[in-house]
Amino acid sequence: MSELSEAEKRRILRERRQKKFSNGGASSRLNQITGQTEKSFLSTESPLDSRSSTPSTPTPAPTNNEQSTKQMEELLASISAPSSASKGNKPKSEGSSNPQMDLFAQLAKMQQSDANESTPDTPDIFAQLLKSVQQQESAQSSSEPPADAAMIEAHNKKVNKLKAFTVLIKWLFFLTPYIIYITNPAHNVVGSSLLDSMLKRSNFFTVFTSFEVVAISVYYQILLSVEKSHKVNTLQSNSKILQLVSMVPEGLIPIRDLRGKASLALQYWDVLSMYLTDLCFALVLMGVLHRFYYAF
Amino acid sequence: MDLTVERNLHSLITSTTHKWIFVGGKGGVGKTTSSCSIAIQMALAQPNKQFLLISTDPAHNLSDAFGEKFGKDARKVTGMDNLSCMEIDPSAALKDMNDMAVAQNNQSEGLGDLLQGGALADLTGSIPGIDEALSFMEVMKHIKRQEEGEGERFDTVIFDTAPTGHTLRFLQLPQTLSQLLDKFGEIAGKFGPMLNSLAGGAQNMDIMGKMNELKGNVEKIKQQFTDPDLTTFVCVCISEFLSLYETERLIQELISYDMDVNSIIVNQLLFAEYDNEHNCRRCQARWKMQKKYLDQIDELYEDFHVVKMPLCAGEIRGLKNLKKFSQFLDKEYNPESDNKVIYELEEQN
Repeated sequence: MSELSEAEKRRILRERRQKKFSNGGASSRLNQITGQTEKSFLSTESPLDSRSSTPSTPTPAPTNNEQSTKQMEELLASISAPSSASKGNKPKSEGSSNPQMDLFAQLAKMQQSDANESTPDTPDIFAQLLKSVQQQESAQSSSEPPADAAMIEAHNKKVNKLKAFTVLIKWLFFLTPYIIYITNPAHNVVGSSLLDSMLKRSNFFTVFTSFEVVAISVYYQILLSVEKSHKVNTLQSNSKILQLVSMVPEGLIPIRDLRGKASLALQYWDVLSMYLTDLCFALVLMGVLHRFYYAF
Repeated sequence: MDLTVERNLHSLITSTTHKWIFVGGKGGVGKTTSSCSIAIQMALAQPNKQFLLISTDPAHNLSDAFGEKFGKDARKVTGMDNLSCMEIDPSAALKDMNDMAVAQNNQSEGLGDLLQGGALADLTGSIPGIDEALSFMEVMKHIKRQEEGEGERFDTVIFDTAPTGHTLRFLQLPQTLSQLLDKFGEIAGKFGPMLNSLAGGAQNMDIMGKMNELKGNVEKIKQQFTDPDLTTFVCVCISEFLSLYETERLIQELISYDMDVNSIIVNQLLFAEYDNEHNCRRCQARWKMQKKYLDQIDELYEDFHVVKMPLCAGEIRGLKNLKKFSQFLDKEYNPESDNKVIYELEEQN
């Protein structure tokens, strides 16, 4: 039999080594080591056994280059847990109502465990940047498959249509008749006392604001169901500000959860702009009607 | 088919393909001694090739190990024509960066004044992970220099790494940078012209071009680090529980990065039963403990080059001592016949 070349021998040995570390072998090796002492508190969870199955590099090696440790998977699970009730395998105490807070809590926990396992290092910027990038990528791939451009376009069309319909219904079927009625100098309220108080001119802002709250809530409910069915987040896929903010690595600016805060601010702005648009419409209509009533 | 694995590093020492050799492990196990030994043995075995030993540990030991001062530029070891050493000094590198920034901004008054006195160096120096980043930049610089044929060419670079945590972060950097650059690339695609105009038309900086160049370099390093013919990692440990545990975890992490790791150096072994002159009770007890973990190492790492190195009577410092000690990497230490060497090390002042 011919002699093996040095390179070939190295390759065979490498494959043999990798085989020993695969299929749970890595954890059992750690178990074997910790089993040597009676009392060991060291973790026997292997970074290899918890790797995700999707390869990230074109190399045919059995392991991949991704940094998806078990801790990372746990982190992602905890982030996606509040959004899907079916994935409720995490204890309730860990899944608070704010996924961003969960993320920070988990990052702090991971950093702590890292420090305990190896050296007591301070958290470094590169590890955190990697984690934030991977978190974004994995969150997209695990909880919400990335929507393609066509889907986003269709979604945007539907959302615009919904917004237009909402405005039309509000303006045509509520605001216009209501303002015509209250601006009419000859308007006389008869009937129940509730209706009477509602149609008083002095109660305009109360009635208007109450209506806006109901109308905007209904609009957002419908928008959420559309987003759920399309698996597209309208704000995230359309807002340039949010896209820019998401590129700022966590930790560079001394504001925690900058992206979450920006997203919240934009949502408030969206609500406020709807309210202001309706108010402007009401004021313009009032001016026109006032002129109409007193001109003739 | 002969697949027995030699209990020495002969194949690595005589390897003509390896460009990057990392030596790492837990703190205090003898990483610097081992990396110096590997470098010396390689330089002796291949006199026509040039070797560079770089310390990426922020607490540098190379100068003390060889007994001569090395700095941020590669300098030949006295007495060896083909072995150079360098210690990357983060504070000096950051000072250079600061000075460059001051020079570039001396026309714009505000920024230049602000950076005077090393403000940038102070600021960036406090970022955790900056040592690893600078070491990585050094690797990139080295690759670029080799491609352009500038400066001194080194055939193999040996890294004397920092304790495990730092080293893993260093090895993670190509992956991290690659992913970050992908992300930046996405934004740059959309806002590239805006970024260019923000950078200043006068300087005519092509940000996109620079990013692509950096990305290309990072990808190249990533590729080289995961090629077992070019890169390998030598784990150093001592025969004790915590060291063994950390070595196993290190190996598993390295495998998860697709890095080749096939050699383990077990340092500070007593071989008490072969030492008739100095065989005290304490040595016997300790050797018994060491043997217990050695048995486990043999069992766990039968497909690895496990090299068992003796605990010497004196400090292994200076080229002569290192040469003497390092011979056991090439030809395994025989406690019966080589016993006298451990008492032969010269005192270094």
